[in-house]
Amino acid sequence: MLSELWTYRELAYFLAWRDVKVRYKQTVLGVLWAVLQPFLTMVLFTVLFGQLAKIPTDGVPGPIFYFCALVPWTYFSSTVSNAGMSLVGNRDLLTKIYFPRLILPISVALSNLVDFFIGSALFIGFILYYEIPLGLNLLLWPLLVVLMFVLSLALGLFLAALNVKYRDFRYAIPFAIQLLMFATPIIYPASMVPEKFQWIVAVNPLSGLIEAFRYAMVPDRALSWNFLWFSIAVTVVLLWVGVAYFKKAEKAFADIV
Amino acid sequence: MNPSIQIRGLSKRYRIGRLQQGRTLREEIVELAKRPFVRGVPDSESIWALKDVSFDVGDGEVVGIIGNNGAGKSTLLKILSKITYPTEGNVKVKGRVASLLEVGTGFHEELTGRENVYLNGSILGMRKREVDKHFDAIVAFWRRDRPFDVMLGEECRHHIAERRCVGRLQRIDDHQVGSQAKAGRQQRGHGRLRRSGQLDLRGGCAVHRLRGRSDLPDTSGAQSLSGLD
Repeated sequence: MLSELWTYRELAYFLAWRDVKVRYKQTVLGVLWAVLQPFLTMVLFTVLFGQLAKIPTDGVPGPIFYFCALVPWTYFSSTVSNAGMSLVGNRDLLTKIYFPRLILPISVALSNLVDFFIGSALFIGFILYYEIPLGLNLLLWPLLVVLMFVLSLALGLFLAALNVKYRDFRYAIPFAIQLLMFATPIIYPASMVPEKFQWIVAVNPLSGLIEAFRYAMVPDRALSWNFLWFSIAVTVVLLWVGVAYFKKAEKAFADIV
Repeated sequence: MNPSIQIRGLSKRYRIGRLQQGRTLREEIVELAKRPFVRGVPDSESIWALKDVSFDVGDGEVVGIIGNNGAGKSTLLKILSKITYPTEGNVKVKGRVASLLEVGTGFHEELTGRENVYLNGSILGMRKREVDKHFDAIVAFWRRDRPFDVMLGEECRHHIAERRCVGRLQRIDDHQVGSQAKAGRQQRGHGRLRRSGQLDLRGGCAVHRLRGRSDLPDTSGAQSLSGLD
């Protein structure tokens, strides 16, 4: 399976490249959109949750606090929903040409990385503006990007296969993602959650990931390593289950999509 | 002789009606709840598109498969090109397969002609290197009555596929003869490659209507799949 994916790696690259190209061509603002989206959301969150609702941010300046979480979250949510639709949305390809079907969700996960890196580049501006000292924690960042990529892809490809089989599944996905955002420490720090509800944060594999992104980018923050280890474990299991289900369902894709 | 395509006891069942498309999770749950009270699973809601088909295609042989509407020609080709899987039986194909089942997929109008050539090439399983190598030929081959950047995806795919024939591939082609323009394009392709002595088609060629297909003198034999009806 892996060697076949490797043979078709250029297809994944070209599909991802097409996505990026078309995405930026179709929006008036083009590449700027990738910057504006997390930036404006960050502004909104700062005003809404920071100024009005006064949700604490662990002493971290609000914009930084939200931004660190928003960029990976945006990657996760758009990858999961787009990869989830990647099979049903490419019906023509599936029914007419052979290629390893996993290429489709993979290409979505790759193309969204472009937005992620553009958004992350904006963080350099924050570092300069707030004069944040860079710590060694930042070395964790590349590993977190890999974890984010694999976790989003694993869930996305699983949903992609389910979407082909169950036509009503797709309607539940945006809602589930929305709920998940509030169950993830994005607008609040994990430390703020009362003891009684800590388990909700703990069982969410995104908690560890998002908090680790903050840990990597903001110096002098503590990190519950157990959350991160749990994230990694869930990611591995999810990838395994997702790919196994995908391969099993794959044979019927062209017939029922 | 060692066949390059070997088909043994091939059958394909399609579900029809309600089961044809994907189901909804809601239906599945309702079904599951009902199951203890319903006896047996009805299998009347399916049809056999292919039933026990066996034949070989020798090396260098060009085979045309003809049959009525719904005889299973396209299904057979889809199985040969691994797009769909057989319900029973198996298929052995030597080498890579270039399938041309209904051209025109993978083309995007937001991309330029050049970009589409690369995208379609990779969809057809070509490496970027290969596209680089044949790029000029693909462009040169294309009819110049339109700017290259608005080239239709369908044409583009044909040009790429014609070039791919050079690389000794099994080619699976589904001709829906009818459109004169399309037939003309294909003729040009076959003719050109034959002239240069590079035509090496090895694979099935499904024809829906015979009119206009006399341009393929290499066809060494046509097997009727009348048994499929």
